[in-house]
Amino acid sequence: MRKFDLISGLFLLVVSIGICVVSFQMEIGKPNAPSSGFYPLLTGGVLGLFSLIIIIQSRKQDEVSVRFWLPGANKKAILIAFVIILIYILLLERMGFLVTTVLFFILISRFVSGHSWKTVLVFSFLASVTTYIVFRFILRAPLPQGIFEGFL
Amino acid sequence: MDFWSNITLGFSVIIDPTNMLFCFIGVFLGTLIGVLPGLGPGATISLLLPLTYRLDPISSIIMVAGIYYGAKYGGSTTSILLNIPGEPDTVITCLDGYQMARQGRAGPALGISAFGSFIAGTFATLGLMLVAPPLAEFALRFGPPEIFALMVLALNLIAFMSSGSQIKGLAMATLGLFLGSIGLDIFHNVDRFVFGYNFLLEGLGIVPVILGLFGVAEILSNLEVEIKGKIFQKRAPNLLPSLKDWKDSFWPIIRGTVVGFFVGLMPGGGGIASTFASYSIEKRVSKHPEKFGKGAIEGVAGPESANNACSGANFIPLMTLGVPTNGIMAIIFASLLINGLQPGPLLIKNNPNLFWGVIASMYLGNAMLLILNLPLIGMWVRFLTIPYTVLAPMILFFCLLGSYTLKNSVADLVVMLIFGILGFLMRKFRYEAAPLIMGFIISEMVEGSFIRSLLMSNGSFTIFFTRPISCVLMIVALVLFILPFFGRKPKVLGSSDDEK
Amino acid sequence: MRKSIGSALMVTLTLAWALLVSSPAFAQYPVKPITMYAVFAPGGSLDSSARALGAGAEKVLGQPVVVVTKEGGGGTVGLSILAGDKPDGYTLAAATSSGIMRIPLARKVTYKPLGSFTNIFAYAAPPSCLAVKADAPFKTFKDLVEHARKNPGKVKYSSAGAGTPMHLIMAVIGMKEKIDWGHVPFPGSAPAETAVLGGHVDAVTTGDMNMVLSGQLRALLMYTKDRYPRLPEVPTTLELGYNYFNDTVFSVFGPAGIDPAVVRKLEDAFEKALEMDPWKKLVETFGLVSVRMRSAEYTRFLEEAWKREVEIQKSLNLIKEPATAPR
Repeated sequence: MRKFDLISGLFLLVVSIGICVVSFQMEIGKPNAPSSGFYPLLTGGVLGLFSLIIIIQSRKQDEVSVRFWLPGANKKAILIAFVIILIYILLLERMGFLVTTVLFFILISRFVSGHSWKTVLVFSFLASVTTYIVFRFILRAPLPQGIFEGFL
Repeated sequence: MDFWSNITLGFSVIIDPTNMLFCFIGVFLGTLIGVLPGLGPGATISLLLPLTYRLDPISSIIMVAGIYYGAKYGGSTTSILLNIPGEPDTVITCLDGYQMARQGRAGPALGISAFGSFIAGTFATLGLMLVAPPLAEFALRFGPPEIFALMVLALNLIAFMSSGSQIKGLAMATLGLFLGSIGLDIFHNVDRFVFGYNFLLEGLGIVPVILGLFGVAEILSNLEVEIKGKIFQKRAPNLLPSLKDWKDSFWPIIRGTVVGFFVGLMPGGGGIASTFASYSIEKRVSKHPEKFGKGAIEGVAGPESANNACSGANFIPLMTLGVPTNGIMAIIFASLLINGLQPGPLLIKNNPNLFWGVIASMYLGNAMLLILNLPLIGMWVRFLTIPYTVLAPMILFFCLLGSYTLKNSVADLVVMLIFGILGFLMRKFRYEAAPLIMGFIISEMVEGSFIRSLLMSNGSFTIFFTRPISCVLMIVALVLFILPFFGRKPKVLGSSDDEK
Repeated sequence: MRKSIGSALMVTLTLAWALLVSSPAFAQYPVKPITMYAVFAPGGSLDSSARALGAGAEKVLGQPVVVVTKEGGGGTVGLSILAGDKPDGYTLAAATSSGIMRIPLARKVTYKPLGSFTNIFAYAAPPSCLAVKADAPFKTFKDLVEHARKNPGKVKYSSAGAGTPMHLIMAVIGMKEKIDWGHVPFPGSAPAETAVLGGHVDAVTTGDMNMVLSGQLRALLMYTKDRYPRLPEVPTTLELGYNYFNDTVFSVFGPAGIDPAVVRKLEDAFEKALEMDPWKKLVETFGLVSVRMRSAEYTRFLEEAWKREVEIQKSLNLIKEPATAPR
């Protein structure tokens, strides 16, 4: 845990330095007449201060060995979920809502949850089509048509 | 017109079956929307705007009001059950509500939330009836220096609301404050931290951030453990709060109602500010603050009440002064206008039917929500027993849908994913999301009120102390800050050994 | 032999298909619903006006006009999105002219203000003014100016944001009258009005007429071109010799390159919509002034407004050069 605090503290320190650097590229103004960069600079500075305290406090603690991943962690599931979301983001407006959502459910249900193909397909279609109908016709908030452009 | 004739007038309006129907539709829709993460009352109400043009004004306002606080009820449901705030306002309920659910106490959590909201809503409506105009006038006296003083107080409280390391909580709050500044600086018309990405001009969307930080991150965390079954192991025999629960919640509900009511009166007084204030207060006055964050029912009862009292109070500035205090009030304002009604001091005089009818509908709405939600508690608890393998994709889908449909923008999905990863890492490294969200939400008010105060005083800092209200608030904030250093338990900037 | 007939057939079919698909006039426009972005938040006058206009236009066009909110950046976010959409007449935006001839001067936007759009129709002019609390001691504009002169640095006015015409007009007046009054921007007109009602600032420069029309605020000076019919006794900036007025109009845009036949249909539809009930009701409630500028006239208007605005902002030292090139 203590090593973690050191790492996270360092990360926050780097972030705060980044914030300050970018803030300096804007006008700072004076404390009684602040300009655009003043407030971000202040937050960056304070964050830097806190991150230093976290780093210092982390040294004062005992080395308890804690692992990042819990025992038996299903890292594959997490990675796959992340990739599937990424795919969804990339395809949503190109392929349209229906195709992408169906794909999403298929991928997630199959690879993360491990359901059978039959359940997966039925559920995916049902969920996607229902949502599309609800949004398009009841809520009047159209979802991307993608490859069905003009047909729906 | 005196008190009783007003109430009678109001109820005579509400007894009308059409109005009752619209009240029901409103609260029902509102609850539904509240439960669905991302889909907010604002989006729905604006979608219903064309409909409101065709309805008669009283019915449409009643319906819209119903949606508004129905959403707050619904939002708490997902906060408690899934650790995903259905509405940004219900973020705080996640803290203890979800823990209660994991301990098998989802029923009591939902129950106390429903009852607390009902009580708070009823009192708020009472307050609305009795003291609306003078209170609204008082709220007007809160100008930028007063708001800034309140912000200082708020920042103070953030430090104490963390259940883990306070330093980490403060760091997250500061990060949140920074993230809130991304976008266009309204004072100088300069982009800040936008780096050419147009979608960042309005800043990071609160909904994708919350859905990522709470929703996606939660799912990713849960996926880590081989989840083949359910994550809520125990199913409590009681679906309703026990006597002890009621005893513990009594004062938090009262305090929450009062706090929520006053916060709701003020310009910019949003639900989330009220819940956050209530939570901090409850934690401070509690005899066992270390229980907060681990399933203390006070942490649900207080904020939930505050949230509902706040919604009720939000109507006051609109109805009495014609000033909408947030986006949804602005929409209601527009629909009043479209229907030929002028919100403002004359509204009560010229349209007593409307004013008192809407107030009566709030009583009715709160009652309907209670009746609607109580039986649902059983259903929701059963919902939790759905295997996580089915639940997870659905929740993930809702997060995606919620983030995207705000503005039909893929960029919001990217924000959601980024904050999802961030949230996941934060959990691993033991940082809390709530302070970050707090900082994020109050960021504009902190910076804005500060700069505006200085513009008003031509650069002099004394303005914060020469104005009575602001001076008092600043002193209170200062005292609260120094207190712990002198208190019995010097809870100084805690280190990581505060953690479990 | 068969091969060449086959290929000829293929080519003909392909050509025919391409013709069919690419020629919008072939299909009777509109054949499907039209999306209209509203570039400001719901509840405000632009959003409400877009809905009312759309409600009227859809009766003429025979297809629904669906208003979708795409707010942000003072209207620039919606316009940016529109600039990249297909110019088939099915995606439009209701926006203010500020997004074209004002904001791009102050900061770089991704679209070309005078090049990326088909300027279809300007339909309303939102009035704006300088107002004080109804019980304030200032009964006329001159009162306020006198007071400001006697108390330099003390008079403060609120606004819904820096760089808006409402703010700029006050800056111009301050320069001309050599008075030192302070600007306090708020994130929106509601908080700006609350500030003046609560006595935290002396006046508000606003585009929201509701409080004035309802009597809670008193208008001292109108920024409209001519006297505002609902407040005939309030003078305008032009009358008082300040060579600046708020020329912002609400209008409908489409991406550049829409078929002129389609543009004409839309112009007709919008013009007729201005005669219909939803519009009339809206004008009453928000106090807007209807305007009728069809495409050609509006394009000329924008070109001139651009030039004029560049000059004014240069003279106020707000910009050295426009941040965005017009084309």
